Amino acid sequence: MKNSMFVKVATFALALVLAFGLVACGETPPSSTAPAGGATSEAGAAGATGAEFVIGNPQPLTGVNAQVGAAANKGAALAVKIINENGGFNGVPVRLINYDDQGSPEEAVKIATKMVEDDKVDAVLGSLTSTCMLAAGQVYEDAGVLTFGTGTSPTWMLQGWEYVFRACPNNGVSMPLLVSKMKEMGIETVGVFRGLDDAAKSAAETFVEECDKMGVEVLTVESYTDGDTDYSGQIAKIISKNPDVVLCSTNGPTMAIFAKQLRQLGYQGLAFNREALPADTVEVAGSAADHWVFMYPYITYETPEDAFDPDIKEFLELFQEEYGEMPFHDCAYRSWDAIMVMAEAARIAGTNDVDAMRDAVVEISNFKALGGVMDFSAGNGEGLNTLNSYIVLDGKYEDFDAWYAAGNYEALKNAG
Amino acid sequence: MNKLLEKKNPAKHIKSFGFLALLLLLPVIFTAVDFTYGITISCFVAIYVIAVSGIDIVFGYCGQISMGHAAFYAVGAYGSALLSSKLNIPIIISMFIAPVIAAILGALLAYPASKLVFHFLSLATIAFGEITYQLILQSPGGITGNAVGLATKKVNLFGFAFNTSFRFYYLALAFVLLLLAAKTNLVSSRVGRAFVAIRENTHAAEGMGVNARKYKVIAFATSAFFTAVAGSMYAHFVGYISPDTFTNKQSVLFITMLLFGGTASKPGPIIGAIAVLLLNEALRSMENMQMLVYGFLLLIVILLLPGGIFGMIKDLFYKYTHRGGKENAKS
Amino acid sequence: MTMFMQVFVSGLVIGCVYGLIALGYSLIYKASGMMSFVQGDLLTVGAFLGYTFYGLWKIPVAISFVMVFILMVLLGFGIERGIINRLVKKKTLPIYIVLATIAVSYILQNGAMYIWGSNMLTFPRLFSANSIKIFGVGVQPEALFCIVVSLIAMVILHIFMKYTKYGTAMRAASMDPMAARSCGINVSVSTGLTWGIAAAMASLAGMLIGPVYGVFTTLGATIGRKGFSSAVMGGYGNMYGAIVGGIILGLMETFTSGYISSAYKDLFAYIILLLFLFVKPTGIFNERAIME
Repeated sequence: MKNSMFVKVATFALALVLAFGLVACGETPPSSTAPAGGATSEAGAAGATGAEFVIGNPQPLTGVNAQVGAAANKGAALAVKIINENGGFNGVPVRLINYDDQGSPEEAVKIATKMVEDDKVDAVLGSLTSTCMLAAGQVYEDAGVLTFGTGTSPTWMLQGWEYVFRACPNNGVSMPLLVSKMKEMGIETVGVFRGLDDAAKSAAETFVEECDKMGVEVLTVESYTDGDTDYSGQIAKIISKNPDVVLCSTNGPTMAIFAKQLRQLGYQGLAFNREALPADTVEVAGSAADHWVFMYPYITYETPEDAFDPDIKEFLELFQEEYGEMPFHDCAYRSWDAIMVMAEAARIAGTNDVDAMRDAVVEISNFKALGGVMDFSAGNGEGLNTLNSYIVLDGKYEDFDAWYAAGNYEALKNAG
Repeated sequence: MNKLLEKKNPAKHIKSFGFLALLLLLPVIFTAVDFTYGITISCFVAIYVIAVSGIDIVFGYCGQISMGHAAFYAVGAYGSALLSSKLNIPIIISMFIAPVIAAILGALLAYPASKLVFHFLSLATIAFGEITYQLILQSPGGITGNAVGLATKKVNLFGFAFNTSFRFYYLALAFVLLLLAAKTNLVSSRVGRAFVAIRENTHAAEGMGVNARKYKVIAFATSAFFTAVAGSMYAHFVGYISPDTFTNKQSVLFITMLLFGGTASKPGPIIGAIAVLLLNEALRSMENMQMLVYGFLLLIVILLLPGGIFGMIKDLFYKYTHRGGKENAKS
Repeated sequence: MTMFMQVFVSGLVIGCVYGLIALGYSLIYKASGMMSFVQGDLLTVGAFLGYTFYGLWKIPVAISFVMVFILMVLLGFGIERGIINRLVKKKTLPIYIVLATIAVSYILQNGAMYIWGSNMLTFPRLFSANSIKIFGVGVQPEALFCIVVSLIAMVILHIFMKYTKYGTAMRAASMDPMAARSCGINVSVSTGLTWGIAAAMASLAGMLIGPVYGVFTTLGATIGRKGFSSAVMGGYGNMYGAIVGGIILGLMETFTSGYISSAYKDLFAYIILLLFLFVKPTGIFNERAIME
């Protein structure tokens, strides 16, 4: 009896010590990227005092989107490292604080409040989960924190928040372009497969609206729930309608599984994806990823040499040097670009005052980033408005327009 | 003897008044030490205390497990948000109507479910939770905003808006005090005794003339009401709701808090909500290791502290007084 | 016809996976009267282990499978001995045991992420052929393999339980532990072994669907939950019921999404679960274990 009581007390004490020890550690999160110069003191959030520029970075690090969140963090950490090596923002070192929002809006709100009130961050990067942005955006807006979201859903940018920007693609823009491309190619019918989460669903809805406008017939819209792994029923239904092409609007591991099952059930035509097919998806899907088409500013590569764009090539070399691997998801580009835009805003403003930086972002109209030219002059907070078209062939990304111009689409149609 | 009792009561009153004063001053203290984030966390604690107290009624007292309480939380949140925005019902009233709807749903679920033993009751409640989640995600006519979610309004009482954590805290505190008083009254009443009888031995309770099904239905309905109140508070505190909040994980979180704190007591849910939320904050800096450590801690508590933290404190207190008594007897 | 066959085969594949998971639930319930929430995550762990041995270290398939089985039996055994049995001995409320399994499921899912990372991994293909024709319909050989192997596994398990000494001992231990003990059967080892076999079943499912779906940390989570629906439909605790329930659920899901609507596909599994619990809790095979 005495013994078991001791165990109980010891356990509880241990848990408490652990909890409080961690709270204490929380003051200087182990993940925070220390300034390269090391001149500033580590302890205490000195963001507001101007001794360092603090960027909070909430991303989903567990759950369905964990892999994407991890990529975003790597891109962000690398950008901060490079910036600090070059003197930070106006000579002030930049510090990144990572958080796991678990893709949960409740956690997102808590973290946002904590970052604003406790960490006293100057800027925020992320989250890539759109419901987290919808939940936390108001907190950033009220606090006047310069925020760059890293998700592609149109919804959260439509809230009219003045401090919230995006330096990565917007599905609201890419979908109409995709439909007009289809129209150009003479595609008349399409089957849609989509997820139920905000990003996937709203992209698919924009796509369907655009198709109605432009006279492309949507034969069927099939959906799936996150976590599900078998889509054969939906695919069989899509195939039975015999569409010219298929549009896929999903995320997470779904893409690869869908691609495999789509080919397995006998569909050999072109498949369009709402965003880039990440490298690991192409690898897992294997030959099933061939003839997948998407419009996107950037793609992931197996080696830096594969990249056509010199900026991306340079970034990839840095990334490989830092992590010993290639980024497998374009979220690494998204967070890099967002931080680089912040740096540019700080340069234009000549000060790290957040309001001045916010005004400076709107002035940016010709800033070359990984995704292309950033132009915030439209005033809607969106920076990236140009896209490239890609097709996957033999596990490699190729220029879709060149492929199409060579008459390959006609050949594929006739072969099918 | 009488004099002694009279003397003891004022002391107790002073103690509870002191406690209440501390609760009332808490946001001021947090503001003073420049830790306003603490107020936000306190608001979440209040919300969870109510939700977990609800589970305590059905599980702690009546012995019926529910692993689908996120569904009632959702009914409270979406119910109140929709009633107030679509029908223009004042929020303070919709925050009451939505839980009533949840209570009716709880009763409807409990009626057929009351014959199931706990394993299968847990499956039934999981299924109920999943079905509710799916219906929010793909609602008829998109009334819930589906995956995009809903923006909700802040509570406004006679022109006073509870739009900051500081202000909301006092509203939440009032709710907590009210509902905990209601819970205490319920469990010490005849109904509460019937709950405990069912928990201890359903057959014996029925033998003594307790209508087990009736009381199980009452327990579920009350429990659903409490959790739905918490849900409506969540909706109007955060200002935005989406299906992600109402998954199975949330139901497990409620139960975890209850077990952490200790079942069938007033302090249990309070201690549990505080402990788990603080732990969550403490583990935040561990990034993606958080859920892993959380799993381990949960396991340790289950293996070594089956009575929860409150149970342990009670044990310690008992040992202490027990030993003290012996020593007194000796001297 | 083509579409029908395709949907049918896919339904069988996912149905067999549900069946393997449900089989684990039934075994555990029969042996110890417990409900485990770990099966889905054991599937994930099994898939990751299979990926490591076969995909990463290039160990031949058969040996990889056996190695995974052994590890998983040990893992299942360890969970029962180290956690479940301790709680049973302390006579804690059964719900604590359910919650302990949930905690283990958190640990496995997030531990897998810690060890193997959050990237989606490629489980290499088991066969070189892209598809084989059955009734004029192209089917992925892995899909057929999945159906055939799960059915074989079920038959072997049946023979093991019914005709071997160990199987008989296990059945005896679950029916009447006291009597079994007096016959010299080591009940605790036998219960632990049941959990081990259930874990092996789950890992088999994981390795079978690995090549079809890829390997990632949340692979088994939903499958694990839907497995409950299969188990209840068949009659919780009934081995044949688990398989039949799994296949019925798999077919129903794919046919609903193929011919009716995919929107409510997931709702379906849970509505079936509720209906069976409320209307016919003993399931198709009229298993009586479930009533109070």
